[in-house]
Amino acid sequence: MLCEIPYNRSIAEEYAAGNVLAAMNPWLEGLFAELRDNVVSMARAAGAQAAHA
Amino acid sequence: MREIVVISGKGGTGKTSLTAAFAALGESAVVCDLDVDAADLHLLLSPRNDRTQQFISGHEAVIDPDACTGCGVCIEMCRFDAIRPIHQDGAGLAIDPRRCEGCKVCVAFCPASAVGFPDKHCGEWYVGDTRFGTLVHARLNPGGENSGRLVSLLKKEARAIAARDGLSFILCDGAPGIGCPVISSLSGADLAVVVTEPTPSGQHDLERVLELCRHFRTRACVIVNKCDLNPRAAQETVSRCQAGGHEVVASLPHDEIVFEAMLRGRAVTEMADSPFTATLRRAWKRIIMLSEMDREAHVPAMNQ
Repeated sequence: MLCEIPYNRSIAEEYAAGNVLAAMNPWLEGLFAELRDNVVSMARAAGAQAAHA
Repeated sequence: MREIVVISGKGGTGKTSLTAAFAALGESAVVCDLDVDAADLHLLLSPRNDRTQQFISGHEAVIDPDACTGCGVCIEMCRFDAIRPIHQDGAGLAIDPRRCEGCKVCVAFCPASAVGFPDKHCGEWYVGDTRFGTLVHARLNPGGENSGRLVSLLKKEARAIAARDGLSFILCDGAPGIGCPVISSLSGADLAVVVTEPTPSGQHDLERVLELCRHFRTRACVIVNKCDLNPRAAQETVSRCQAGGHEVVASLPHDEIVFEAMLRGRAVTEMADSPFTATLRRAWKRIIMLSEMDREAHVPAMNQ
């Protein structure tokens, strides 16, 4: 589980306006920064695993 | 018998929720889930007594390890680089199904006749009974090919059931996008109901799917879902549709009743009466009327 994003109407409105969710508020910015770091870590781990196989 | 196909261009606009809502309102209809890559209408309609059929389509090359001499001719001939040694010392050959295009060159050139070409099992399709009548649906295997062919097969089955049972409508939940399964779902349809939302991608993909409908001369009407998330963009969408000759049969707000229904595994029109469900009932009546109009009438010409 990399991330959990709640049901939130203001997020839907921001998306509908064509804005980047990560720039919406500090909480979402932090959430997406953490998600990015988790994805990068996972990709690195998968790459290392593939190299050993 | 009339065929109504609900499509969207963009995924996640509410296509399946609205199809289920119409299925609950539709009388005398066969319901058909044509989103074979990611079918989920059955989660809302809960079919019972599913009759299962295998979906066999195309072929796959398979090397018989006992007959293979390891000469490597197939590796040289395969332009898709789909044949690799199984072991690091080069012994034993196998076909990578992700790369194999089924061209049959390896079958034709193998000097030991060690490559077979059996039928390919690509998934299953089902006919089940729901509280709204018969549901025809399918599950394509991950990576399974020929989704357009499977869509065509489901529609053929739905038509046969509708004819046998004397039903007036076939109501189809289509796939998102403008690719093969969507094209196949539009074949023979009397009306496409395009569900969109007032987002940049929703507007962009609406244009593309309406262009597809014009290309195949399929009449299309539009539902603007979640219209209150961006009222200005929603109004812009309505204006564009009207200018292009596509009737907007409903503008629906972003209402939590939809999520409540989904969490309960119900169609939204099975929930308590509300302005939202009343709008849906009016939209469904209009959709039926539009589907009954002459098929060639009111199809906007290309380049509009």
